[in-house]
Amino acid sequence: MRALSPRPRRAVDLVARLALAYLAGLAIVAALAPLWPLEDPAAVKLPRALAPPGSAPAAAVLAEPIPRTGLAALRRRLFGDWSIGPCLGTDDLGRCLLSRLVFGARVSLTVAALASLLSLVLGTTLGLLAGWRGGAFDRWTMRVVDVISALPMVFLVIFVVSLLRGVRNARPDMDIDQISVLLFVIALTSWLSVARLVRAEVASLKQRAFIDAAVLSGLSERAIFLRHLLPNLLPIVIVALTLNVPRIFLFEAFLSFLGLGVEAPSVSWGLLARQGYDSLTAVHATWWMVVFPAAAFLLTLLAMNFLGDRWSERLDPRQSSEPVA
Amino acid sequence: MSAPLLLIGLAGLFAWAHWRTRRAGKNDRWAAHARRLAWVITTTLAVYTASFFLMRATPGGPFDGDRALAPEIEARLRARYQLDRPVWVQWWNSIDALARLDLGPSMVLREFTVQEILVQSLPTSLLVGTAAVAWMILIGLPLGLLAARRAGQWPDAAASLVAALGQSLPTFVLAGLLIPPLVFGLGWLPAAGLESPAGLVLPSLCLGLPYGAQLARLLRAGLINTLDQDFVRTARAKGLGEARVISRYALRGALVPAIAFLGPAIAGILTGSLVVENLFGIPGLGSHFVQGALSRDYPLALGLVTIYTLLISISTWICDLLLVALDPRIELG
Repeated sequence: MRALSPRPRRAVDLVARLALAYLAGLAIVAALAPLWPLEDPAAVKLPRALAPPGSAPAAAVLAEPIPRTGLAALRRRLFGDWSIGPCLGTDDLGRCLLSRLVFGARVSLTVAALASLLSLVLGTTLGLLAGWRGGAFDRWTMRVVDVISALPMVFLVIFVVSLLRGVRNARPDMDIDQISVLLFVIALTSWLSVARLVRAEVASLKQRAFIDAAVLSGLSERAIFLRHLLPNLLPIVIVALTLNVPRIFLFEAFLSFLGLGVEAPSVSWGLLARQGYDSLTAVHATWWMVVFPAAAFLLTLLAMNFLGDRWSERLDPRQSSEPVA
Repeated sequence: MSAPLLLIGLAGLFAWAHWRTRRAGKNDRWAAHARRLAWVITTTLAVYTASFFLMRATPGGPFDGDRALAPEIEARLRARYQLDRPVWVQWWNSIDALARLDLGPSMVLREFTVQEILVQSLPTSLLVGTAAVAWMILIGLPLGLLAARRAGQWPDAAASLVAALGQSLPTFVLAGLLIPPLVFGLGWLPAAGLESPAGLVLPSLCLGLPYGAQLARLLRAGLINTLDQDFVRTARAKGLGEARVISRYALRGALVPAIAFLGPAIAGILTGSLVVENLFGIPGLGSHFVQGALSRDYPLALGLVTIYTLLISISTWICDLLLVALDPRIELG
């Protein structure tokens, strides 16, 4: 595919840089969430429930007991009891929406990042082995990939997640961490495209002279993988990553929205979108509970999609959706 | 005994496809279809089996509702639904029933069989899904055409912006943004339910818009590609009008990636219908599926997983057929 549009390159790169800066900023804000002078995202304050942005007084709340180390302690050192208050309004339990958005980003981005990394490792390993070994191993791995990708994965994931929910209700003692389960299940469903891309790339790299040279010079398989194949796979792996991250991010939000993903007291953006939706009635105009999470989704997905497009345009890989024969 | 018949038939189908390929060559259409059908059935059976054992392997059952049942009653219930037999026997019996297209009784909604629930909810879901696909085409096609015709000018930029926004607004966020103005503000549309045709507008729009945006982007890319190919120049040189050049010549080539996207899009719309049915209180497959899985209604959840698998496989099959019809170079796999 050629560059599709006569768009001026400079402007595109500026937008790409902005998108990257936004995502990096969001990641930093989310990662350091306990450091900021925000209220406790789970602190219920019923008297100021559903207060519009800026109207409710800030509540000086800190988690009790106050921790001695870590980000929360540093925050106490820096800001004391002060917090910027619910400047984006509060939800139906009087919790600060801004703080919930920041802490929600922490969960949502962590799940997206870790699940994509996990799927990347899985997909790259299998794709690399299949492409390198060739023969029956390759055929069977790719057959398995084809069969799995024909399955209605989302439904199976929902099925598994709701089963686990049932398990937890039936046996509270088993203590299943919903977020890690979510992470693994999502990762297990999204390594297929990575495996296909990597396999095709390895199969074509294998034909190149420098690989023959490496083999002839008696390098071990491990060294060939690490020194010659992986560096050449990096661009395509990054493309796979940029395509996967928004998908996984959306998937987590989708599950949380349905009530099958992240659960209270944890917050995620999907959960916030759900809360905003549930707060909609003809009587209350609680626009802030809908608009701010929506804006957060919109900006983040725009940035992710744009960066993904830019990368694939730049590196010009094969289409990810095409089955590789 | 219909399960053995089904399995024998399946093996026969595979064997026939194999035989036909050897006789009529690799590109034989009938062999491809037979193999495809055999794989659809195999996948469905595999999904059913995996879900079956997954469901039985995890603790909890359809009868641990809010109130604990008396042991005798629960034992009678278990006997009635044959849950007291060994799991393998249960599995074989249910596959046998499945081969007769009998999905069994629901264990939670005890007055209904799964078929009755399907008969009620499948048309609703299909209606919403079809409307969503209609929205997708209604939004995607003009937007993509406009952007490609005016590539590099402001209509292109505007259309591309709309497409990028649409792609980045997931269904559940879109619903939250559209409901206040359209339902509460202007009062044009009902908030929930499908009693009137107007109730269909909002759910299907929320479902279809993100895919319409992606369709627009694909069409734009495809059209820009085909519009400067030789056959389009020839068509223009013959003196054909622009509308005819696009509809008869350029669009045909540009539709290939769009149709290829239709398969994943339909799967996505089916998935999204879970959210939309939940949001707008539509009694379709999706709400039953989530409920059935949560309440351990074994036959209902399994039946719906099976139906979803079939729906997705069949829709990708149809999309592949369309692709072959559009571009004879593509082979049925």
